[in-house]
Amino acid sequence: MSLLRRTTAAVLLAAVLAPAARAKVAFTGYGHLLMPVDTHFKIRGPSAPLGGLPEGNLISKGFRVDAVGLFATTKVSEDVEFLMDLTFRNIGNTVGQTRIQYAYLDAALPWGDLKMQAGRVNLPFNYYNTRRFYPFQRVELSAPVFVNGILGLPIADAGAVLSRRFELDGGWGVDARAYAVNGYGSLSGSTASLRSPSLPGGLGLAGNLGASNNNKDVAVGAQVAANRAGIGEVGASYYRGAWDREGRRVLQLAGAHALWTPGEFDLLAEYLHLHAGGDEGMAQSLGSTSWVTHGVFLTAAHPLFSVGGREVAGWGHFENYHSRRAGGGPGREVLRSYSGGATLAVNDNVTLKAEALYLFYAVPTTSKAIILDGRLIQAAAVITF
Amino acid sequence: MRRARGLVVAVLLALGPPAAALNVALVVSGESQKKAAIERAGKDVKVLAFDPVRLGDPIEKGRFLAALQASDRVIAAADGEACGWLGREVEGVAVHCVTSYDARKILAFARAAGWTRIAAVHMTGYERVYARLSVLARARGIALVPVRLEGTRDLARALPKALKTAKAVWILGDPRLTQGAAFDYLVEATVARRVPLIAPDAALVGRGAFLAAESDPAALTRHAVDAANLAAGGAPTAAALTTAPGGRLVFNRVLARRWGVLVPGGTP
Repeated sequence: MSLLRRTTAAVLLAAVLAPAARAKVAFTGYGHLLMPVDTHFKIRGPSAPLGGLPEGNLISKGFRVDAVGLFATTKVSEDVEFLMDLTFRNIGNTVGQTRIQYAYLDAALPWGDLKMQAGRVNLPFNYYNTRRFYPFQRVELSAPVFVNGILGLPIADAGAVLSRRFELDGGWGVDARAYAVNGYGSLSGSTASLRSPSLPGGLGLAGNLGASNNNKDVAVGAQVAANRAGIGEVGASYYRGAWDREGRRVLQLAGAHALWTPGEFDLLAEYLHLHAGGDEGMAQSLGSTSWVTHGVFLTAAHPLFSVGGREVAGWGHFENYHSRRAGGGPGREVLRSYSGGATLAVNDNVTLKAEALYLFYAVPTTSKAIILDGRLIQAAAVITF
Repeated sequence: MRRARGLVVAVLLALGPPAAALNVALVVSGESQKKAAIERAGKDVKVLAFDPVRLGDPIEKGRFLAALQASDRVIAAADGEACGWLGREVEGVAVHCVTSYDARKILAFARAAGWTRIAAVHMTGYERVYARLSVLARARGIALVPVRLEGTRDLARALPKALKTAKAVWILGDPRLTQGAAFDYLVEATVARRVPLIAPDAALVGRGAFLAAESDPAALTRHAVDAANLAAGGAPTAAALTTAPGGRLVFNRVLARRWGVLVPGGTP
């Protein structure tokens, strides 16, 4: 039994043994309603990787309930909380996805001001994953396309996070976090592919985080971030774990983030470096089983004017990501996106958003490249309760 | 293996012994007040900061509510917005808002304005607050007439009767009386009879009250911590709810001009 499993079991046992008389559960939640007003994308590529999607123009508009989430929180004992998020996504007549996005015990340990989260936890990787993922946490409407659609947000996995805050002079503080989780595994139905250039599903890594570990390796990582209220935060993050069944092929993520919040201005920039080894899924696209991704996104927001005493905030977003074989080569996966829009908090519980987004994505395949190029104009309402 | 055992022990220690007989949650406004309160609070008093921006996030709101609802009693040293929020959101736990304003300032103005008979509207549990204010009022030649309510539905019966003789109405402070239909009724009934309404929070002046004493935040926090420490020791919460010096009076200058009441600083 691994250390991780023993620790998780201990925390769960402790929760069971704790006094239950005070275990009142507080339920809160949110809804995210989307109205794509104008979706116009041009899709080109070989038919097999497109997975049934027709080559040509994709034009649509309509309404959909993107997500409804319920947060349950309870104090298990004086210094221990249990938190979980049950989210329903892609809701039509039936629910497309039911996800436990996180479910963990959050305990203040008795020494060194340490805190531990154990269970299905959000990985402290960069800033967006833990503090801007939900639509009520961010000003902009859409999450960054690459980290959300390909890396997969939120990055949540079974394991434990140990954290400590060091207070410094002048209101500054440093948060240090270390974690151990099951980690990313291989693509569903494959043992040798981490990603593959196919739609839908193969391009993203989100589905590679399974219910249990697929090898004997435990993925580990850490984050260090310095922050001060009213100024912002700078931080660096790292993740390392074997993703194949034998535990030999390694995925590494490195990230850096900067949040600047002087006055009402809000600027967030995140850099991502991804290095995958032994991935046969992307080998023919990028020319090697060892490939890297570099990329950055930048989002800036500021209040523009007031309507009925409520501020309308404007925002702009840019991102650019490239993947290629380690050491360089001709095959390149490219993702570029620009977006902007406005957000109005109608009251404490309802926020309206509008957005225009341009996206270009290209990835080579064995025959010709898959290219997705187009625009999206959409509106949304975020309801919290 | 040794590390694993260490972690198990650590977690069990973190869970701690069964909770004490009376846990009190003290809600203050802002981080600076929280730091001051923690230094003064006893071990059974958990201090939480009310931050409306953070509570807009349902995850943070859930954590805040879970902490409050795990307490036996909630005492709030916060403004009307916070007290109203706590009254609406917290279920199954008694919430008491500390009214730490300087009653002497209010009574001095009332005497100068000729309000010799004031109806003191309060909920059951505020008897000690009324008793203390009554002594202060009597010393200044003012009769503080009790209008005690078991619930807000008693208001429609008790208030019209009190308004027949009262020169002013004073809400001694309770979230049930300072929000929603109860407060709206108090404003409408008093304004219709041109009877000044004295509110327990300065923010209520903007909603139709005539006069309120704005708290000194530091005095309010000190006072609330003392109340919370007493409550954690098992004392009835209302026994600790008194008035404290500091702060300033805030007037509804529109009503003052209409009614011809002279207030410090003049009317618009």
